[in-house]
Formats: sequence, C-alpha cells, structure tokens
Amino acid sequence: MVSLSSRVTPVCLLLMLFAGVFFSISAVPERQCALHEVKKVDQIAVKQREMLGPVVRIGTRQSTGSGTIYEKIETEVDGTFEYLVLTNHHITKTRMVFSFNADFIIGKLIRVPIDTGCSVVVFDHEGQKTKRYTAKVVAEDAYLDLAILSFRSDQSIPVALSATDEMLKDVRVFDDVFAVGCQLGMRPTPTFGIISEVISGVTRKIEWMLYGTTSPITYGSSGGGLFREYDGHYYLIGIPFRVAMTPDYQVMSHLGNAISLFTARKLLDNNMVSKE
Amino acid sequence: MLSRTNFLVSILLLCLSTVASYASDADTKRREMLHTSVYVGTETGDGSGTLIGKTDTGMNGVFRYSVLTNEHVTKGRFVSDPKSPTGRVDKECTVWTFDHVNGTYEAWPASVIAENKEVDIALLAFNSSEVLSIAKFATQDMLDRIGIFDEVFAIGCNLKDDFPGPTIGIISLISTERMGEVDVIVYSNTAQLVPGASGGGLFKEHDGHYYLVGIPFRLDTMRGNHLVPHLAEAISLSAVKNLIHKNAVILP
Repeated sequence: MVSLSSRVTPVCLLLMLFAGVFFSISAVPERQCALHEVKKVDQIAVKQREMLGPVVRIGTRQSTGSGTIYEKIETEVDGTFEYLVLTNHHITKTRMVFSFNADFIIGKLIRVPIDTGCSVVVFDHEGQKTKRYTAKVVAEDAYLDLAILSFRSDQSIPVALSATDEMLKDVRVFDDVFAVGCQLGMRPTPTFGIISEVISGVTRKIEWMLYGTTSPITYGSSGGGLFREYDGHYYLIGIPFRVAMTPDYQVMSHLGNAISLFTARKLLDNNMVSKE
Repeated sequence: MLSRTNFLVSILLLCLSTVASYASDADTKRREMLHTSVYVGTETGDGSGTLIGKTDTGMNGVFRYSVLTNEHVTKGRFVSDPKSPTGRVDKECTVWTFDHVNGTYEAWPASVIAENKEVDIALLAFNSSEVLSIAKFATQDMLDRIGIFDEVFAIGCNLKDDFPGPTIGIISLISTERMGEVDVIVYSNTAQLVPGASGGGLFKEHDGHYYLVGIPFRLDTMRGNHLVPHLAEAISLSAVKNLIHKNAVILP
C-alpha cells in the first residue's frame, strides 16, 4: 500500500505539471484572455462609476479646486436630495473677499468680509454634460484644512464609498491608489500611484493622519479624492491637499499628500453637519 | 522520500515556468514597444518616432521603413537661407535606430513623404538593411474600446539625446478636438512625458500584445510655463489612418 502511493504520487504530480504547462501554453490564452478582457472592462466601468462620478469641481470667485461627494440625504421636498461634499478649507476660504469702508467717526478704514459663495460643478461622464449648483459651506476647519459643502439637486449623483476605520487602518506603504481631481481646473481626471508614507500624530488633542502618495497631483487637485481598492470596489481614503515644490516653484507632482479620511471624520463628527 | 523529491522538483519547475512567463511578457513589451521606437533628428529640433511599416525594396536585403511622428518635429528640417527662392532650405531628417541588446545605434537619412500641420502628424521613410521591429497598429474596434483608467505605455526619447524609454500611466480623459477641418480624438494620459518624447508611441495591451493607439504630441503647462509631465496628450491613431492609407504604407 505504501509502495503504491509512493509510485502514484510522483506520477500524478508529473501529470499535473505537464497538464499545467500544456494548458498555460495552448488552451488557456484564448479562453482566459476573453474572460480576462470581460473582467477588465467590468473593472474599468466600476472604476469610472466609483471614482470619477463622485468628484466635482469647486469654484469660488478667486480660485478653483476639487471636492468629493460623500453623502446623499433625502430631503422633505419631493424628489430632491442634499449632497454633502468634502473639500479643502484653502479652497472654500477663497470665497471671502474684503471691501474697505471708511469710518469717518473713528477715522479708520474698516475691513468688511463679503461671502461670495461657492459653486459645485457636477460632471456626467457618459453624456459629457456638466451642471453647476450653488453650494453653502456647512462646516470648515482651517487647522485640518477641511471643509464641508452642501447643495441640493433633483438629480441622482454618484456618492463615493467611504472607507471604514478598519480599511483605513489597513492602508500601508506600497498600496496602489488613484487620485481623482480637477487638475488645472479641467474636468475630473484620475492618476495612479502608490502610498509612499503614512504619517500620524496628535496635535491640539486631535489625532491626525496623512498619506504620502506618488499618484501625481497638481494645482486644482486639492479637495479631490484618494481612492484605494477593497474587494473589487474603490473607497475614498483621503483628500489630496498639498504637493511638494522646489524653491523655484516647480511642482513635484509625485510627492503629494492627502489627509486621511480618519482625520476628516473628526470634522464630520464634531461639526454636526446640518441635515435640514 | 521519492514522492517528496518529486514534489519539490515539481514546485521548482512550476516556479521556473512562472518566471519564464513573466520574462516572456517583458520580452514582448521590449519587442513590440521599445524596439519600434526611433529618434528623429533635424537641423533645428528633434523628437521621437515609431516604425509602422516595412516593404522590400527589391534591392538585396534593403527594406523601406515608414516612421510616424509629429509635424512639429519634422518642421525643424527647414533652415532659413536668404539665397533660396523660398527663403529656406529643406535639410531633410535623420532617423536613428537602436540596438537595445548591444547598446548601439545607427543613423539613416530619411525623407518626409506626408505631413499634416493641423493634426500635427508626419510620415517619414528611410531605407535600411537592418531588420527592425514594426509596431502593431490598433484596429478601430480596439480604439473604440479605449476608456478612462486603461493602462498605457508611452515610449519616446525623453530629453532628446537618450535611448528610447518607456513610461507607464493610465488614460485620464478622452476628448475631441477640432484640428483644422478634422475632429481628432485626444487621449490625455498620465504616462509621463518630457521634451523629446513627441512623436513617439502610446501603446495599450490587448490579448497579451502591445498595440500603437496614439502619438504623444503635447504636455500641459502651468504658471511660468512649467511642464506637467503627467498631463500628457496623444493624438488617437484613428486620426492618423487617412494619412497612412493615402500614402500606401503597408501596415503589419
């Protein structure tokens, strides 16, 4: 019995090896390529839906940037939704312009801030259409460089899948990531790279976390989305907010930083976003 | 004991076959993308090109090769000359082909057989006795199926005086641009480019092979004219096909 198994096992193994080599050379390419092609097409459709769709362009009187729709709330008005957009404070703060009024009684110029508002431009990537909405700032934090905008629409707009805390804890150096943003004020476009560093700390009793990423970003990418794949879906893990520069202001686009969603949750949780 | 030895040998062979399959993919990439890339030099400028056609001249072992490049690369062949009736002289172009195995290159005089300034494409031809690799042309069906997030490779002579090299990226935007009287599809992509890569090739994988899908021709710039290497643009091959068919280039 022992001698039989010792003879059968090597024969079986050799047969398996030959069969494997034979299929890898001949039969598999056509069938597997066809299957591979279908899977690839599906995966690209998923990427477009989950990463391009939720990213919007934020416009102010003085600047432009990106934002990511992370929540959709049904309103009491029939058929309209309130959408919440996560972006950077350094974009939304440019909505403020200042005028100077002369106060003749005290003999001084008084600086008067005027809120000129923000707009959100939503892109329909299939129809190549755009729609502009007026948005209000519902929360902002200059220290974390984060802001939340809201706008109302009767359209169904894709919302980003937010990574859970478990997923965020799992983000490691060398993980593949995509950055999506309105680079140079264009429509949302993706770039691909890896996580190059994960930095965390505690300042002013606030726990924060940043990701370094090689996914190229440039002016206009701020406030967009940094996405990572989990189980075939693409989840928002961070907000690209700055990029390294040389002393002569040449952007080092592969040395970007994104605020982790883990940090962004502090703003979302602490500022009690209006859901009216 | 015998079964354990066989098991280990089998695992070793499987590992070797896996390594071999990776190696063959790298070989395919080199053969189908890198080896088809050439350097195009002119009197006042330079860039890259891609070998797209090869015909037997009937002379002993001499082939006529066609090279696809940008018009803004070939226009550097004109040198101003007050004595000439047109005020300029055509100094022709030179195509450098590369032997990546031995690290050598050869220069061949090339003539411009067709060009389109609006669409920024040009076709060169040169005779050579070398056997060179020709790029596979993407079919219209393949071009129609290109989408955002598709992985692409750009091959060109980055920074002009170097051997051709690849960069990898993804398609980030597909737009249509009016160039002269033609609507041209432009692929924005993140495969990084720098000056010198113009006229090279944008390639995409299909069924284990790498097909030419576009001609990198432009980079976005921002304040102070700083180039943004990951905001590269390539003319779709669909815009190039008319020029090629009119000039009877035999594609592989």
